Amino acid sequence: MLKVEGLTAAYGRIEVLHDLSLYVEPGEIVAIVGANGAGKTTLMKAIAGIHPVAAGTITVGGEDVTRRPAHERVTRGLALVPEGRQVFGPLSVADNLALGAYRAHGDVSADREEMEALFPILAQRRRQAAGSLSGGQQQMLAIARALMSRPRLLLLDEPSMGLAPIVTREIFEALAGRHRSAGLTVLLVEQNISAALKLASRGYVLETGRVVAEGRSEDLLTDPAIQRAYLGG
Amino acid sequence: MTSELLQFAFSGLTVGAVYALVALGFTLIYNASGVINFAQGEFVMIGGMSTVFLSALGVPLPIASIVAVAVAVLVGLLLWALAIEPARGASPVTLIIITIGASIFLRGLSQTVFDKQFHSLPPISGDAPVRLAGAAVLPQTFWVLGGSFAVVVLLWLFLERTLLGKAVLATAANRVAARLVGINTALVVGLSFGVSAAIGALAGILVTPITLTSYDVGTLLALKGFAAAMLGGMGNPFGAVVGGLAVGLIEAFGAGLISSDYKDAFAFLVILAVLFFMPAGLFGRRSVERV
Repeated sequence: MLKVEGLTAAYGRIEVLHDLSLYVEPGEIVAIVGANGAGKTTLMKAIAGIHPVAAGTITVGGEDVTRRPAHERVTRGLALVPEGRQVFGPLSVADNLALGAYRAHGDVSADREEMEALFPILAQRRRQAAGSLSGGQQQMLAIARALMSRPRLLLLDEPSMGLAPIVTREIFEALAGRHRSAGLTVLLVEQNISAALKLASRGYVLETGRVVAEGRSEDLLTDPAIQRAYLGG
Repeated sequence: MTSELLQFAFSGLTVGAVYALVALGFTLIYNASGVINFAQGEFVMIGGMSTVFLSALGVPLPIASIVAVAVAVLVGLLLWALAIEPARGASPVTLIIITIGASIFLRGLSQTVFDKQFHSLPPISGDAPVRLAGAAVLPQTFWVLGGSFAVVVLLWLFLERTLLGKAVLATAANRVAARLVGINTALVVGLSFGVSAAIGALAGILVTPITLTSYDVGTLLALKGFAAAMLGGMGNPFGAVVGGLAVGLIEAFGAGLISSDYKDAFAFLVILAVLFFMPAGLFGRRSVERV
């Protein structure tokens, strides 16, 4: 589904991702965990096409998209829910969802109903400006907006940031349900490491722009080194 | 006295409608790209001058007008494709300086292509003034007001009722997120240049029978339209219309009641007053957003 090989990215002359490789199989949920500044957000931006790639390749479903602009990657099946949600604040919830399907052709009302079933609060707030929603509701809207494009791979950047644990749990449960029912493939970046690895089947641990550990979630969760470094165990 | 005031009000609304259309052009491009396009006044000039010269060649007025709008749109798209798009990623200040350069270039070019004389067009419905409560109103005034109103309604319908219009609003609200849902934001900027040029050209055609046109009318129109956009709150289409009409009225009443020597100074007073007392304008975005 997704294959990242030898990815290098920089801010000006400061390299933040060094020769990084990872893959996601269809139907998988994969987590990328690591501390602040490990390069997780830059990695997601590079995959989505809103941060330039200095070297390496990004392949989606066998097609090399490394040089494609972000808006074309959406048609290749990538959808990023960016850090900090980034909903279209002045536009209504309904318009945000409609724009999520900007690249889709034909009738998208069934998709919208599906999203409103996934996050019922969005149906209640349909006519409200997205910027007036609470943080958790904005996160739900951002996820629903991304799903409106029927992505083959959903990229999630820190969905739990700034949210109450109960809201985070609700969102993670919705994602897990979507994974079970529709086979949604997800690449997830999180600082909340235990929650992320419980949702995911595999994980990568990122440290200063490099993969320092990878494997099945259970193995990572029980790895003594990772427990010491990240889980305070 | 009241008939005199009414007279000022009508002439104020007429030029105000033109300022409103120029301000709308500023708003569209500013929203899509963060750039204040100081060549906006030149679109108005190109609309008026092209129509004048085409009809002098014997082209019927309606066809000349349509071709003139098309010429302005082409110039707008070329400005975007040759000067703005290649500088993508440059800071807005750099891009604004590019538009000032383009404005000077277009003025020089039209001096050569057209000439340096003042020109007029025959009014659409004759020039016998209509008496309205003691004020004499030129029939062209109604064409200017009606045309401006039609433009505002069409623009509103486009932005609120079509997916492409919403893509423009989405680009204005959050450019990165717009790219992430698949919107080609560079094209949205190009579209805004094309639409702004069309609106400006239409304003130029409608107002030429009243205010005349020449190769350099764009400079003052751009400044007054800019004052209008500032007064209304940069980035707000509704504010642009209100600001345009307000600047027109301030100018007409100021010229009529104080002195017509200072007619052009009032727009600058408006800019200064906005900067000193309410930098966000009347309807400016008070960016309150929950995160």
